[in-house]
Amino acid sequence: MLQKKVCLLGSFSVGKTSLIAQFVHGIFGEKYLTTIGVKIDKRRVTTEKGETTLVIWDLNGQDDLQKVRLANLRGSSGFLFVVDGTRPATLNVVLELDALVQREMGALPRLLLLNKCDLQDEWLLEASRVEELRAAGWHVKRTSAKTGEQVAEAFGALAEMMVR
Amino acid sequence: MGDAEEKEALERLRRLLLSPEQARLTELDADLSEPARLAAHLRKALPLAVKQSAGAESRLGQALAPILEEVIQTTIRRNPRLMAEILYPVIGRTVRKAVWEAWSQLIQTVNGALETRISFKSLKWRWIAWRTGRTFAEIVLAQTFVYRVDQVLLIHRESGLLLGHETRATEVAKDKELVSAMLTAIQDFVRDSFDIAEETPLGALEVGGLKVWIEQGPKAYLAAVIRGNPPAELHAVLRDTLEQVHFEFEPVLQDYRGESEDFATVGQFLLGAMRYERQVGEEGSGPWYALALGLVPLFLVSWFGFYSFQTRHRLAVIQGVLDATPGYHIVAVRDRGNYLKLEGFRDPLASPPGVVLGPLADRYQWLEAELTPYIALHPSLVLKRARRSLAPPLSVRLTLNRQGRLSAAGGADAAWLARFEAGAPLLAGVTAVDARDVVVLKTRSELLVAELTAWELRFEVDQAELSEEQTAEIAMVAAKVAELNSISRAQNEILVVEIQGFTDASGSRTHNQELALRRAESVRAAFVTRGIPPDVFRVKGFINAVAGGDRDRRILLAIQFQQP
Ligand SMILES: Nc1nc2c(ncn2[C@@H]2O[C@H](COP(=O)(O)OP(=O)(O)OP(=O)(O)O)[C@@H](O)[C@H]2O)c(=O)[nH]1
Ligand SMILES: [Mg+2]
Repeated sequence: MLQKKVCLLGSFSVGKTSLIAQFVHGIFGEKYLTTIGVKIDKRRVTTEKGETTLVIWDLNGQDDLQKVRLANLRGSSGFLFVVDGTRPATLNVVLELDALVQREMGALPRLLLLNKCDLQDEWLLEASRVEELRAAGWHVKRTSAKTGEQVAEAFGALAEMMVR
Repeated sequence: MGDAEEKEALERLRRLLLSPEQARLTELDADLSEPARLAAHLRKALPLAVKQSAGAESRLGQALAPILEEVIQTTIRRNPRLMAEILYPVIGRTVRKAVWEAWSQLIQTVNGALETRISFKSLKWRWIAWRTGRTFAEIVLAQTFVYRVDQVLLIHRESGLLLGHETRATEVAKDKELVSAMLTAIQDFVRDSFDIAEETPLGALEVGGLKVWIEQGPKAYLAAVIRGNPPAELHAVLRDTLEQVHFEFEPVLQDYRGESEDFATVGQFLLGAMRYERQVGEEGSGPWYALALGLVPLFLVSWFGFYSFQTRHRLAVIQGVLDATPGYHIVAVRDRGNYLKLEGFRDPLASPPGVVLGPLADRYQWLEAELTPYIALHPSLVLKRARRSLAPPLSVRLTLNRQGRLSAAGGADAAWLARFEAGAPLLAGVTAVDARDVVVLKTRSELLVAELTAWELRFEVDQAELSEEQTAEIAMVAAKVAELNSISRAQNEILVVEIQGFTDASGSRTHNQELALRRAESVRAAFVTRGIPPDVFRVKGFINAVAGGDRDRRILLAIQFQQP
């Protein structure tokens, strides 16, 4: 059996906690309860290499790079970077975080989640921008923690990348 | 009247009539346009306004809510430490609850297993349980054991992933992976929130009546869940277990990819840490019995009829324990009524038999050991021997891997490095040496600073007085301080040594604050007795965040140089 540590990173309120709640427990809440410190959950997934336990670290939103607790990231085999599609500024935060992670830990499997895709009317990320990111090598998924769209797929895809 | 005259009279009349209003208007204008004055007025009115609007439908509240939310978020972002401090009690409780729930399942399992056994004693315990409202399992454990290690978790330090887990119950607590990750996160959290250096390990936690002792290793750490009051020696047992695991699993620990197959056999090592001690007067079967069962057939044949079953059982256990201890090779264990006789071989560096056996030998009045010295090649003893003969500076850490490669890391002078490279390969059990992580310190004072800051002095619970052993150690360190002091004087710098006293978190804050300072003071006094001027030292006291642990109670030194 494999175990892999995964961290979710991104700005405040982009839906990190909600994505995990959806993936692990299949639930969603409208209420925003900001995460303080770390919350840990786990779920088993099946990959082509067999059963794998994902130990998922939900970190508090990190807008200030100086304040990121590197100790929490260490030992992680993969990252989910989460962006709120209705707030394009959250993409910049993610790109900075990604640079930090690469600098500190090298290139590790990672996925970019454009979350809250159920909010079509408020969506502000341009398709061209998304294409640029893909061209730059990002694996991108549009997710919704609310409807569950692409959530399990995102975790599954990261798991496959990590066991490879 | 002339035209001019008339004009002037009119002007006078106007002034007479209007000037009070005029003055008032200018004043009001100033009130409105000068922020400071406006603020002064608002200050009087605002509280009343807020109070009035707080009633009915509270539009003010609604209007302010988003602003307040933002303020709170900015505060958290700017100063998470402050927030962490405020929230610590809440988080602490949540964490305790989560961990407790995981372990209360274990109690349930124990409960289940015990329910099926009936004896007079168990009826009595059942009665106590019923009367006190505690679970049957709790009562049995409390009545039977002084302490007992219930679970041992081996946790990958970097990722917090669980490498191995041993428990007494047949059914494993459900969320051990989560518990292991949480323990790691808690440590990071505590370290961050209380400004504890990263290398400073967290020694222990108290979780709902259970103790969790944590022993840190370079790649993994061991968390033991303990019931009752464990003796300090248990730390040594945990440390040994952890060292063994590091030796045996060195290659996989180096580059752990989350494959639990790699640690399939780690359980046998962890079992060694599942120690317990029974209440006196309790004879009975337990895991020792199980261990002995494997050995019994060997002895049954030859010894049957000579010894009672109890005695054979005990001797088998003693032999088993000694054989499992590095540096022992036991040929015979004999019960001589009031004393115990051991025959075989012992590496002089191995712990004395009395220490190894502990309570197992309690029933004998003395112990006669006919143990011929030999050199054991067990890694832990090879390492011990290397430390003796190479005498590394306090700032160097020696480690030995499974293949017998002896590595040195830390700051040392060129002379020691040369000695290491020449001498280490000659040691029995050392196959290769590695000094890549040695930093050569050019000057004597650099080396002394490195040594002094690497040094630590541990204390017993609630102790601030120095033992003989501690005083001897301080004498060794004082020589280094004195030397550093004279070097810095010659260089026209002022040496300042901060003596930092630490306590664990048990006991009251004020008591601990005072204890931490007393520890630092007694170390200072010892240094001063050794002839170092008192003004070199500053003392400081610190209280560690979480209860327990050997390493919580200690002295560290911090070195500074000041310009005169
Ligand atoms: N409509 C919609 N709302 C979402 C979605 N994901 C999260 N939300 C909402 O966004 C808010 C923030 O979600 P969280 O999951 O708490 O965000 P977070 O990233 O964990 O925030 P921090 O812990 O503060 O960093 C909540 O009110 C959620 O209900 C989504 O996919 N769709
Ligand atoms: Mg959150």
